Amino acid sequence: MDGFTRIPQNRIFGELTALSALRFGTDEDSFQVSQQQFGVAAKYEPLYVYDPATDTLTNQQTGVVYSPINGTWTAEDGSTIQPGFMVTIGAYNYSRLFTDPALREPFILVFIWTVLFAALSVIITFSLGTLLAIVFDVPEMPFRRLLRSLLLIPYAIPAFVSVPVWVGLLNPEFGIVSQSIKAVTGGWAPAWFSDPFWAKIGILLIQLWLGMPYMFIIVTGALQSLPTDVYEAADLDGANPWHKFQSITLPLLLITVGPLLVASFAFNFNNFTVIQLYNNGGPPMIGTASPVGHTDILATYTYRIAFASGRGADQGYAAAITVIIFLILVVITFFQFRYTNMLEERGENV
Amino acid sequence: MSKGGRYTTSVGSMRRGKLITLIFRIVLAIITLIFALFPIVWVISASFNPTNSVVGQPLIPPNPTLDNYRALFNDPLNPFPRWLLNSLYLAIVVTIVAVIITTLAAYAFSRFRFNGRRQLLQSILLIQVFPNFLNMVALFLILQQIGTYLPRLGLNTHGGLMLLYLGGTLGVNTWLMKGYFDSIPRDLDEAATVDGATPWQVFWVILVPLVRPILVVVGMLTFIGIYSEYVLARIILTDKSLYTLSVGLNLFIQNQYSGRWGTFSAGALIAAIPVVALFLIFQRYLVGGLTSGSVKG
Repeated sequence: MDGFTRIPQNRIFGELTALSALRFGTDEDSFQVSQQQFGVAAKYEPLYVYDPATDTLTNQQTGVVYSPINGTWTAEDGSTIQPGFMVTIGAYNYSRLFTDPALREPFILVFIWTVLFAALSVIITFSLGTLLAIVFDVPEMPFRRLLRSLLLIPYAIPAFVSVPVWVGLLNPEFGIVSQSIKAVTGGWAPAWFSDPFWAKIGILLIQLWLGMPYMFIIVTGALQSLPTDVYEAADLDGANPWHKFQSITLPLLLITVGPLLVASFAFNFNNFTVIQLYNNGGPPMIGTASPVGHTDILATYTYRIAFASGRGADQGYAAAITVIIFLILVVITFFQFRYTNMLEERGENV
Repeated sequence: MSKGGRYTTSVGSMRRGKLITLIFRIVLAIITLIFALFPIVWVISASFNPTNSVVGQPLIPPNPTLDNYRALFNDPLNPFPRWLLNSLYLAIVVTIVAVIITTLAAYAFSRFRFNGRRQLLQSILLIQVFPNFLNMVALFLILQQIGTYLPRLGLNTHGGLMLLYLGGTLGVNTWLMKGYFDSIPRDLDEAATVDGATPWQVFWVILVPLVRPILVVVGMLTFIGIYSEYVLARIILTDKSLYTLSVGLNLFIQNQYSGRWGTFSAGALIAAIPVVALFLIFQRYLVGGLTSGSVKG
C-alpha cells in the first residue's frame, strides 16, 4: 500500500479518545498496528487515503473525495470530516471582528455595555457608599459598630449565592420584589429577564447590593483619616455643609480611594459571575452570527463563543477577544499604577 | 460632618435641628438595613418553608420544618455534602500552598538582591493584569495537554483546577506580601545575621512572626476567592461528584425556582456560613487589607 495517511494535527476538543488512538500512526507508516481496547493487536487499513498529487483525501468505503478548505476536509456536497487540522490564518480572527458586520455589531454593543456596566457599578456604589459613610460616621449615631457589621454581611456572602437568591426575588411571576411592585402599580412589574432595559437595571440593582458595603467600608476608613484643620478653616470662612463636601471631602476622598475605584472598575469589567448567573447574558440578541445576549459583557461573551455553543465552537475568535480585553486592562492598570506609585519601590529596601 | 443650625442664636432651635438630623440618620440607617438584609431574611424564611417554591412565600412560614435541609443532604442526584467538601478541600489546600509559596517568594524579593529580580517582579505584575479566567481558552487547552501526560492534573480533576487557582493567586499576593516585608526594617535581620543567624533563621524566627497580619489577610482573601470562584470550576469540572458549591448550587437552581427554592435556600445558607463567619471573625484584618488595595465586588 502506498500513499500515507494524513492524520489531522489538531487541537479540537471532544475528540480526545479518538485522537489518542489516531496518534499512533502520525507519520510515515501506512500500517497502523495499534492495541485495541480488548487487548488484541489489530492491523488497520486507513479509511481515508491521501493523494499528494491532488491534495485530496478519499474515503475508501464510499469513494467520496475531500479537499482541504480552511482547516477542514470538505467534500463537494459540503460534508466535512471532523476533526479538522491546524492552519495558519494570520490575523483572520481579528479582521473578522472588524469587518464582518454580523460579528462587529454585537461586539460593539457588548463593548459599550461592558464599559457602562463597570462605570455605573462603580459610580452608583461609590456615591451611595459615600452618602451612607457620611451620614452614619458621626459620634452621635447610635449602634455604629453593629450597623457596620450588619452592612458587612451582604459583602461577605459569595456572589454565587447572592445572585441566584436575587434572581429568585426578582422572579417576574412569583418573586417578592415583583409581587410588591405589582401590588403598588396594579399588576405591572418590570420584565427583569426578558426586556433588555430592565435586565440591565436588575443587574445594576444587584451590583448595588453587592458593592455598596465595600464602598461604605473603604469610604468610612478614608474619611477618618482626613485632616480636621481644613474643616475648621472652612467653618471660619462660613462654608455650608454642601460646600465643604464638594470642595474638601470629595477631592480628598478621591485621592485616597481613587486607586480602589479604578481597581473596582477593572474588577467589574470582568465580573463574569454576576452577569452569567443573572440571566446567562440574556435576553438574547436577535440576528447575530454568534450567541450573544443584551446583558453580555466581554468576558461572558468570550465564554459563550468559546464554550457554551458546543465545545470548541470558535476558540480562535474567543481568544482574539481576550487579547483585546487584555489590552484595555493594561491601559486601566497603567492608570492605576500612576495613582498608587506601586512600581516605585520604597526607600530603604530598594 | 455637618452641624445643622450653626448660625442660629437660640439654643432650643439648635437642639431641634440636631434632633431632626439624627432622626434623618436613623431613618436612612433603617432603610439601608432593610435593603441590605431582606434578601437574607427571605432566604432564611424560605429554607424553613415546606412548600419549596418561590410562589406565594410568606415572611414567616406557617409550619416551619427542617425538610429542606434533610432533602439537601439526602439527594443522590445532587450530592450537596460532596460539593461542600469539594469547595472546602480546594480552598484550604490552595490557601495553604499559596501562603507558603508567596511568603517565601516575598521574602526573597524583599531581602535578596539577585540578577533579574526587578524584571521578575515586573513581569509578575504584568502577567497579573491578565485575569485568570480571561485565559480560559488557553487554560482549557493547557490542562487538556497536561492531562495526556499527568491524568491527575488534567481536565475534570481537582488537581488541575488547583493548578489554575494557584497560578491565579500567586502574583498579586506576592506583591502584597513583598510590600509588607519591605515595611519591616532591615536592621532587624542584619542584627540577627551579625549574631550568626542563617537566612532561613532570619526568615522563620524573626520575619514570619512580624508579618503575621498580612499572612492572615492573604490567607483569608485566597480562601474566600477560591471558595467563591465560579468560572474556571464551571469550565474545568464536568463530573457532578467533582463540582464545587458554586457550580453545583447554580446548576441545581437554574430554571427551577418554582420547585427547588426551599432546598436551594437551605444550601445557600450553608454555603454562605463559612465565608460570612470568616469575615466577621477577621473583620479588623480584612478591612485593613481591603483598604490597602484588594478588591472583591
